[in-house]
Amino acid sequence: MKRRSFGGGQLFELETQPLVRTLVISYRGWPFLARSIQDDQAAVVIKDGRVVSLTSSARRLGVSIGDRAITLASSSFDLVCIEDDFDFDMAAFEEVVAVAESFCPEVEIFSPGVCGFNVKGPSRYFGGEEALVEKVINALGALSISSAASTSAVKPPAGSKGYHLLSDRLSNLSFGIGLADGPFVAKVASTFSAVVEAGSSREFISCFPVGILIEEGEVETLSKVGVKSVGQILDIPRDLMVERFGKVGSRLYELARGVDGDLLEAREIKKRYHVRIDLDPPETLSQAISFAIRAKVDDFFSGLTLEGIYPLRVRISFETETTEAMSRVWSSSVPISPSFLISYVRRQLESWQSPTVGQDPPRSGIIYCDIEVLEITSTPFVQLDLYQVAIHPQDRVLRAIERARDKVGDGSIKVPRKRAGRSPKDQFQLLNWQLDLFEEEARAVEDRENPPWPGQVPNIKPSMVFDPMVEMEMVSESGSMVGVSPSGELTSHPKFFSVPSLGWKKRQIERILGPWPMNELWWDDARRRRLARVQIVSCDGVALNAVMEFSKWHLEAIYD
Amino acid sequence: MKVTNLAKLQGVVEPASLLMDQRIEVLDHLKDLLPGGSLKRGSVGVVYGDFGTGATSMAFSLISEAVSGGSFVGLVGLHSWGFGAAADMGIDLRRLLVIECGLSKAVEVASLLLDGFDIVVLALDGAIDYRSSRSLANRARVTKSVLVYLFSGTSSIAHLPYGADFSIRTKLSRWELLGSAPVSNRSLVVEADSAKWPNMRSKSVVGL
Repeated sequence: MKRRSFGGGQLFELETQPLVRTLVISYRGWPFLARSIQDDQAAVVIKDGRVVSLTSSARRLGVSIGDRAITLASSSFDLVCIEDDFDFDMAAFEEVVAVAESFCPEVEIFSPGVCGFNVKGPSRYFGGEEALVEKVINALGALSISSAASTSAVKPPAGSKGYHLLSDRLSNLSFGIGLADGPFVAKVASTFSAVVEAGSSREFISCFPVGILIEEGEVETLSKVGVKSVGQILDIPRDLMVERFGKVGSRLYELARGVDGDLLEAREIKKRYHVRIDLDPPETLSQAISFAIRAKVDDFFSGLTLEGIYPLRVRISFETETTEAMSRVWSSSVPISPSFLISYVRRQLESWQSPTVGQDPPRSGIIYCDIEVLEITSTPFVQLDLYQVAIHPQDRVLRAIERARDKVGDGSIKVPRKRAGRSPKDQFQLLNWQLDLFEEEARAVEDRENPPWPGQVPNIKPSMVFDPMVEMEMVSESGSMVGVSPSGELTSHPKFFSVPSLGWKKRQIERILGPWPMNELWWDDARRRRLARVQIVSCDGVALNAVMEFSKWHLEAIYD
Repeated sequence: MKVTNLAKLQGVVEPASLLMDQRIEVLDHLKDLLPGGSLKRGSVGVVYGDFGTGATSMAFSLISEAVSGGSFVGLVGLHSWGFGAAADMGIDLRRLLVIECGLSKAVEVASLLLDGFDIVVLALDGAIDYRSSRSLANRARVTKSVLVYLFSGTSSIAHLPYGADFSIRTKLSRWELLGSAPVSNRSLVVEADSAKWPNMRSKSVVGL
């Protein structure tokens, strides 16, 4: 019974799942190819202020993935910096997708630069896998994408079996093609332009270092315990992997066997991980459609998140009034967020409505949009993207913020900042969160000792500050209200106070300090404030700041 | 399984990280209040007490050491945070993220933030229902982050939220009152409880 605590019913051995033969087309360094930047040109792609991808000549200059953009700018490198732009990369990749779609109606896009499709149908139609690969290579070769690094320079590690290279035909082309069981192995194979024979995924992949499966940090954990190659993972039983490494372990176990992601059973998808959004009246504008489905998508995703499910692979399909249909599968190595899904939808609609080569746009408006989750993960950030490898520890924080922002909207996410002022309320302000607020250096003014502000309560700061202030009452022993005279003195000695909105009835005052009078902005008729501040400690240990303004007492802060 | 196989496995299943590494340090004077003397990753804690007894300060001091160590902390819910006190305790405000939202969204947002933030403080003014607290506790366990509930203005809780590993109740603040000087030093009378050892309720006095 004790063992069951390691993740419910996961301790059974993995059932063999049928994997579809998949062909993957991959362009190494797509952001550079899309902008016609050669590999001998030093260039980097910047995302959130960090380098996420670079050309080999940039690597020779000493730049590496994860460097901060600011430090690059200050050095003297003659470096081209490109801001990460999913939409631009995707738009440029459209011509490759169009070629792929001429072979198979449903193309899966992994990331800009990498796409693939199920070859079961196409290989029959085009006369076998070899013939299909030949045709794809020729069709892609006809595109005018300038060649960068040749992909065939890399070879799979010695000892890999069950594959043959296509290198003789691809030696001077810019792309790689991989054909294997399942998208994951096909993606690996495409880096070497290899065809892995059916059922040989294990032989092919077992000599690879574990780094192809997971992130850097996890690799260290694995190599500490002596697991260096994928083959060694294959030797470990599933329950031990789960016991030792939890969810990551079970995912490794699957990946090492070429099972890419938690494949959902068809029935379950229909029940829960599927949403259909009807558009009535039919809509043609992609902007309007993405706007219309936004709310439903948000609902759908928040339902998934509550269950701890993150989609990795989704199918988006549309149908028009005249029963034309289009569907594409989008996958990502990091969980897909609603905003990403919307951009997929927009991208897909735009490419359908304004096709690049020889295809017809839909003739009528779209009547529904169908979103189906095909693969999920419950451990985000496990699988490594083969091309854009950078995941920073801080990226996890940023991604969490991104998701929270999708939920509560921009205005509710704040960071506190210090500023000058008299009242505890004025001394700190909440700024709307922006990326650079985490990065900014401590300002000089924060380090400098704050000059004394007359009217400020000295010493330690209260830990609860009310904004707006809460009304309270203060009375003397005889029960008369305590006021502050024009000269800044208390009119009588206060004995009790009460704060009705906090449910505090009459509390006895042990000590009162002050008042500290304050006459703020007396030169400005509209904004002038005249008030007096006192510090109170009650007999039962509650310390607070109170303010007298317009002859009324207000609770400003509690030393909670 | 054959003995030879077992020998082979032994190398593989050696501990990858010790339990000691899976925790978040706290200030020295809080060590006695917590099971194991630190915040265990994946655990859930509760801090509560009436207004003025020091619950908010207690929450700030729990996260202070973690923030110094580079952790990001999310403060979720509706609470009148006084950041002056946080800054006084040496908390780098650049590592705090504040999300102001009502109970209905706060639970969901906290569950999102647990995935990335080392500590999430969820400030609530009333009890949390069983279902939400259960899903949050599971989330914390999976993401290996720490969830701290802060019930300010609550002097007693009928049921602790699901999965709470420890609870700290602040009972009273004692101020050192010297002449006409403003309040400065205080000590908190707190009652700490650990879920593992229910009979080990400890009362202690902590200087803050």
